[in-house]
Amino acid sequence: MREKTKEITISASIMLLGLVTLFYLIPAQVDVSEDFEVKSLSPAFFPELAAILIVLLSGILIVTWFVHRKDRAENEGLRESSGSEMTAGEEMRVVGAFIIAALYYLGFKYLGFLISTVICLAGMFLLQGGKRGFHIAALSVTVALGLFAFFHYVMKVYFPVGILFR
Amino acid sequence: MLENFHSGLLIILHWQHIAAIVVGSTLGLIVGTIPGLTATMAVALILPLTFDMDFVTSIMLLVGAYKGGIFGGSITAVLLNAPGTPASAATCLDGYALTRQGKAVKALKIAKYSSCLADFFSDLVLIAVAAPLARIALKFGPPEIAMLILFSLTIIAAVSGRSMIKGLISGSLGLLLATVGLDPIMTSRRFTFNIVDLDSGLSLVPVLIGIFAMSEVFLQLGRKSRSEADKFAIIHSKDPADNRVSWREFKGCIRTILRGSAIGTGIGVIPGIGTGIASFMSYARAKRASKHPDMFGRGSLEGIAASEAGNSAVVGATFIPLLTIGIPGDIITAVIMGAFMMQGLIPGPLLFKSHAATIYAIFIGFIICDIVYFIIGSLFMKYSAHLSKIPRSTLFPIVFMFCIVGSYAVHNSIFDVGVVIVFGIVGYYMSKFGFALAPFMIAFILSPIGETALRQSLLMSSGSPSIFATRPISAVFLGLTIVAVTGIVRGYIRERNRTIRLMNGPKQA
Repeated sequence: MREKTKEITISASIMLLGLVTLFYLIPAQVDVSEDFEVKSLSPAFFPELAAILIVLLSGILIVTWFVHRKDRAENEGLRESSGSEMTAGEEMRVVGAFIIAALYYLGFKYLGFLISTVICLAGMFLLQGGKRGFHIAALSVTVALGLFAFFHYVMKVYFPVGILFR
Repeated sequence: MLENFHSGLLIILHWQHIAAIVVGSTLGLIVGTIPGLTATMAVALILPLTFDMDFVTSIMLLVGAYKGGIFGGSITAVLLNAPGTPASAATCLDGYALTRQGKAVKALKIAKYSSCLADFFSDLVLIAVAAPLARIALKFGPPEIAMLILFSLTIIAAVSGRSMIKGLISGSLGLLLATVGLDPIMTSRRFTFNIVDLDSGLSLVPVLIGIFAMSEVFLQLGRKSRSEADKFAIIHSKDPADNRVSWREFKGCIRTILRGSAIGTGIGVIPGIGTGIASFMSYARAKRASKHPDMFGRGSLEGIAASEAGNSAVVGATFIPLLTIGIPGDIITAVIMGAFMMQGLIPGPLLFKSHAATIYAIFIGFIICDIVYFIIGSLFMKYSAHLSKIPRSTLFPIVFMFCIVGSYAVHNSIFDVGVVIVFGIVGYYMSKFGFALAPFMIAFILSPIGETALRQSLLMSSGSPSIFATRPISAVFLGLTIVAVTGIVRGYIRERNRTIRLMNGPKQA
């Protein structure tokens, strides 16, 4: 029952995404100038096609659940996916990784590559259950400097320096 | 021809040229292994170093980097589910599944054999039938490309996993997100939300790394080691049979390798299509032809062989239009074309008349390159296996950093860092809820080329869709698409009825 609810919720959310795209995002976000040539298809054609497909397919997924209640064929993908085997604690750690990644994105922009990378790596190591402070610090600094040296001097990739070094 | 071949052999067997191949292949392998750093980048970085070199040395250095870069991408695809280059995306599907079973070495070995054999095949085709193939490729206009892409999209059915509907939703999402940016015909803005970075659309490399690699990193970062064996991300089986490819296993893949080589060569000849499509097409074809299609996506050697043969065979073939008609087959050959021009040579039919011996020297260099990167690849794989000694708690934060830096390096764009993180989260939830990732990527890669070709075709025909049925090559692809879709629908209905019968069977009894 729980699996069924979950499956229908996911399908309904995808359908909603398709409907929002079709009736709100495409009219608001796709520029279709009035003088476009009909013979070359409208710029909105492909987005509309994709949105209609999303709505139809998610609708089929929902209907399938009601018509073939006992048929779990469509849902074996859920059991198959490795993510579903996770415990609540592990789920929380994934969310923790999302948060560190989001903060790293902001840090990358404002603190620059080196500082934000050292902090992010230390955070990731701690999230993975690292306890030895010196080991974490040394590894974070070494990896950050190594990446910086390789990409900056060999690959000629220039990273943001951040507001502290401007 | 034989005289030119002999003269070419004398030219290429010079230590400088062999050294250029070794250095180029090594650099290509290193760059290709790092997620986000593509073979294109390896070639582009090496190009300035060739300014003062002689023509053959410079071309060999670049070709070595190209071939090494494409193969290097498969190493991290197999070991970490992080395709080093977009060409290796399909290799992840079975390569990483084998790694999780402790058979990483076996997966890497079959990848190496398939890559080298397919590369060799396409080089032979390049030498033997370059000119006639290029003439056929010239007949590919927008209608033919549009129908080829439409046919290629039927691959989605083969890589949808257990739920075809979810696979199709995943593909539709890829199709939708591929439309972000300026529309290819009228340059109208689509879903840009007034963000300048979105005008050129979502970059392929960050999306690819996000969907495949970053989503896996998030999954692994969340997972706690439950046992001592689980402490390492890459498990090595102690059974020798799991660490080698037996003759029987290799024999079982030969047909797949040959088929993949033919597909890759065919795709490579057509300018502007690329390695990613070839590997997915070869993978789908192999699955349809296999005696064990259910093993695809779960660690099938045939799956790895198909993907690697498909992408590697493109390499030699992309030189066919470049050398015979002066049109680069892909971005990398466009960069290499720059090297030709810097040396004062214009690629095209005249080159075969004015510099025949040099061209044959390059051809032979291609084959030497296959042997060299087979040897270097073997050494490289030996050392990359040391990754298995790094605990997962150390490895995955470092892989996370490589994903970020690799995505940033493509355009030196902080926006791409955000893209890789967002798509990592999207990919994580997609696989968690049973939506296969491959259909998303296939649609994302193919649909921009397909949309441009479709709309150009309709412009050519003043809006009449009959153009797709009246041109012979286009009509053939249209017919193949109809046959493929019919087969897929029938197969799906048959499989579904069988599952329902199996579900109801025990109760009725």
